[in-house]
Amino acid sequence: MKEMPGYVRAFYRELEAGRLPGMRCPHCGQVRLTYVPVCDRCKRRAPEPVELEKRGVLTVFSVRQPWDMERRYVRDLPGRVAVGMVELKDGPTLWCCVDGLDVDHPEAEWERLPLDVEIDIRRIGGNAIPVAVVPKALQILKEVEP
Amino acid sequence: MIHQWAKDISIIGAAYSPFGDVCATPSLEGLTFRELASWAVLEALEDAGAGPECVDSLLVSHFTDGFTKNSSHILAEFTGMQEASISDIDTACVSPINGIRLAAGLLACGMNDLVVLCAVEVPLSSITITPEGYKLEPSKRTRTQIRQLRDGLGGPFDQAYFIPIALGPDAGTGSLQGLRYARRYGLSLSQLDEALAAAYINSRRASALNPRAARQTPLEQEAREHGFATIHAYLHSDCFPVYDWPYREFARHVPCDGAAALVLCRTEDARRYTRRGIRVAGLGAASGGSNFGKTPADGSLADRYGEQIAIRQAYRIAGIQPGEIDYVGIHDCMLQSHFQVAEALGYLPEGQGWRMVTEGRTAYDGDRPINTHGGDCAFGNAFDATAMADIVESVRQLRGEAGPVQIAGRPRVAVNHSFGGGSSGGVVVLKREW
Repeated sequence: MKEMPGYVRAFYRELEAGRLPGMRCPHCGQVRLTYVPVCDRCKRRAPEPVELEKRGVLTVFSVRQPWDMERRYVRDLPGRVAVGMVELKDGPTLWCCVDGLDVDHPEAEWERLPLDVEIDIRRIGGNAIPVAVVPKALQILKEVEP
Repeated sequence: MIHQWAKDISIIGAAYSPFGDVCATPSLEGLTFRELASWAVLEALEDAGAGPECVDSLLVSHFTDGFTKNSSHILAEFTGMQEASISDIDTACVSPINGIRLAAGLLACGMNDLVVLCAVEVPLSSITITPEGYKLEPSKRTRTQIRQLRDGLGGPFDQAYFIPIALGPDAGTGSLQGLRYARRYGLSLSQLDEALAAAYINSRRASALNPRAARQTPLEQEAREHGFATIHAYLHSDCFPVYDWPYREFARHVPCDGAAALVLCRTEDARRYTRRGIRVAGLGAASGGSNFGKTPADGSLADRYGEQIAIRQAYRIAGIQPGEIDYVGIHDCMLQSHFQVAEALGYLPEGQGWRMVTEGRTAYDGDRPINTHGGDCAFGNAFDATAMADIVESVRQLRGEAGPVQIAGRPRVAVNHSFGGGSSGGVVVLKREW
């Protein structure tokens, strides 16, 4: 990424292809989600694009009501939706939709945090965006733990 | 690199208009931005003992409505300042603090002798152009239009990434911030709810005593009028629905119209106008960038990098320790900021702020007072105009002119915080030296 490309377009193109795009600075090792031409830690040019691992830990979540959300999102969502913060395995934090939580009983789900999640790419609100998914198998395993 | 300033700067005049709805609040009914803004500007000049002919620069902040953007020349003419230079500032709710920063530059370098800052927002109404021409009377925006405007305010957040991926701006400022605080410091959901409700009750107690606040009805009376025997039952009823679990509507700001203004000059010149000047002892401001996709730092404002930098800068320039602070103004558009930011400022002990709020200690008559005008959820949030009103309130507290909400003792140091969505932040330290 030596020349100046369309960073935003390149990011969403990677998401369309099912990859979670980020950058790693070759000088200081800083990793972040999205593409930028300058490292936000050491300020040197030309961090390198990398594919981030699509796994992380859901640390907190809230539940949004459809009546309080923009129509472009509501159109693609089943109703109430969880939005949370995921600490990706590679370090950065991702704020995104969460699938696989029982949004009708958020208090019970809250007690299960932190939860391992996988990142899936879904089309919501007209864009391919990353969504955190609580795998069913993981949910069951957590339930039988003492 | 942040340096001490070449010249000290003081606030010599401060005022805010009533806050409310220009389509519904009797004292504001039918006002457009110019009348609302001039209300604050002319009162601030009167407070300073200066006339409009003394003003060298007028810096105006207003960012929610395209019709009022870049119209500071209209305000200048309306208030008799057409000879002054004008500039617009647009850094969302940090504009007042960035405005003080820019005014300090103009004053300290000697280019200007007197600068007026004004912040004005009229988000609840619009003046529209129709095929028949301008509709000059403000017309009420529908709930949907206000929501669209609010979502349009995602601008301070990252429109390319944060808004589409986190499904709007709310996640960045509201419940997720409060919930993360709860996890970090071991609060149960009911303790978080109790702290938010207490912050709201404290805010409403203050705004009930403020004739310029958007919410002036005492909360007990409002609960009774809705048929509830207790405030707790009222706050947890359908009157305040859960909009972003576990947050209820009372934990979210009250959008409203309003304006505020400050008059600044060099401290060495302040006595020419007034004996009640308040020195701007320290100021910090940093963009912090977008808070999306980075590795968060430690602390209670983990991903709000700009505010962390601003706090450090302001305290270093002012040379103060948190223990010296007598009063704090916080831009609390989401109520957890009440304790989350107060802790980051060192005003409340880390991880204990929520408990002190619950005990009423941050109320105007408590020992750690915050937002004695009522804050964003009771005084009302007209964005940068409220952030400037927060500073006006600090000036009044330091002068001992805050009326029924005057805090105890003779306050000497006040700190104001604001943030402009995303992670941009600003902090100003004010000192009374008389």
